[in-house]
Amino acid sequence: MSNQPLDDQAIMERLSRGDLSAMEALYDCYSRAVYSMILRIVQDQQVAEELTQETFFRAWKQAKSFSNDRGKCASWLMSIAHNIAIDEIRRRKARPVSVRSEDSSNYLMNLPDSSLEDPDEIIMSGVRRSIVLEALRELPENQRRVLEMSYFGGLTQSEIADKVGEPLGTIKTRMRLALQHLRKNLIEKGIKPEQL
Amino acid sequence: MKIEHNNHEQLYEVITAYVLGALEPEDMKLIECHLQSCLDCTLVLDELLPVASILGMASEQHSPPPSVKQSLLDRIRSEERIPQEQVTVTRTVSTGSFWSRFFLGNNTLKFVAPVALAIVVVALGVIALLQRDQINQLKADVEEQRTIVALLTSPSTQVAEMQQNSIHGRMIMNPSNNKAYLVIQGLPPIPEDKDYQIWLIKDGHKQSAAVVHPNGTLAIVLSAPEPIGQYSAMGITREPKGGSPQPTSNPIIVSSLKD
Repeated sequence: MSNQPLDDQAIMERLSRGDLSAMEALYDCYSRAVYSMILRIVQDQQVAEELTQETFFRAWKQAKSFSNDRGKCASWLMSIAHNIAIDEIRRRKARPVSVRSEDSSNYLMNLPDSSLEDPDEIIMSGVRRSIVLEALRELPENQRRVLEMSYFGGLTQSEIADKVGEPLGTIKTRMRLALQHLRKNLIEKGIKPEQL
Repeated sequence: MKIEHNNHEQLYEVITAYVLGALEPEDMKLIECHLQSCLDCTLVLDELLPVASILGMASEQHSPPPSVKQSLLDRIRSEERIPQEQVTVTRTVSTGSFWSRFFLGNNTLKFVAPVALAIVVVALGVIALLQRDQINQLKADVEEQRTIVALLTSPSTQVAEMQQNSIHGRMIMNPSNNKAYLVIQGLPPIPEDKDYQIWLIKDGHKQSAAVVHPNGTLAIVLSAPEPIGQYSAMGITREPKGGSPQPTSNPIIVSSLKD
């Protein structure tokens, strides 16, 4: 796997021309992050493999619609993957059933750090996972929890409100603050999300 | 769902929920369409989407097995071997005998897609102006527009073009799907006591697909009982108000749906 940032514009132009080697480069760079995120959501290795393939296939088909002005390739790809994974668990009308999702706040809290010497510690586009985890852990527990329940658990705001027994408005506000705080924490740690 | 653009916090709450996938499915669709035409919201989206993506990167890292990459590349190569799957089939119908005279051609969707997307944008602009008691109807409209966009973006979509005298149009369809989008221009004005009836033909049997009374351009999503690919032709007749069990007049336009 390559962890070197890709030239997004160049790779997407090559993709839109039907250059299969560009797809290989895209896959080599991002498949680990895409697969890991999908696996976390669907909690099924075989399904995660299928959805990873589907993510990159859609990227191939949609390359011409990619606009470099509207964000970077990594965000675009992760967004496709996330939508596919969430659609899948909603389609199955099932939620992740692992202990992790039941104790959602602890999932992000307890994720092991990678070694700084480990080349795989750099997830994509030069972002170190340990820094992302650190930024997450600095969030208030209840904010981290709503992020986990929505992003990884596939729960809607209403479902989260029901699950935690708090008003919907409170959940909406908490979710907004959580993402804003995470963005602020990342920027303070030298990660510029808009560069992804 | 309504976005209050002058309410900064509400705007961020909606887009936050969108990037986290936390909106109700119908609201997700509405926001997706809304984002295509709203600069304010796209700016917020550009700010928040990368943060959500980083959240996804916090997952424990695992590598997919090599077979995933190989399957992906095989799938793409397979697609490329049949490029015509992405190319639409155009058919032109001249004046002539009943349910006959089909001439085939080619066309692409690239000129159709922007038009349909523009229709979606216009429809959503209307949504913003209407009252709450109209929302259900509007959601149905949006769903129809999404059906159209889905048809336009499917690699299996085909287009049947048709022209007969001053009437012309096209039918956009996925042979394996039960829905098709039909647009016809140039239909003669029709009296109040008459309707146009759209027929799908299978094994010589004509099934009513819709009864319409258009003012100007006819644009409709047809829902057939069976996949569109199972029908051989489509035609439009003029019928008494409310339609007829079977055609009672010669078709004013007809098109083959088979290669």
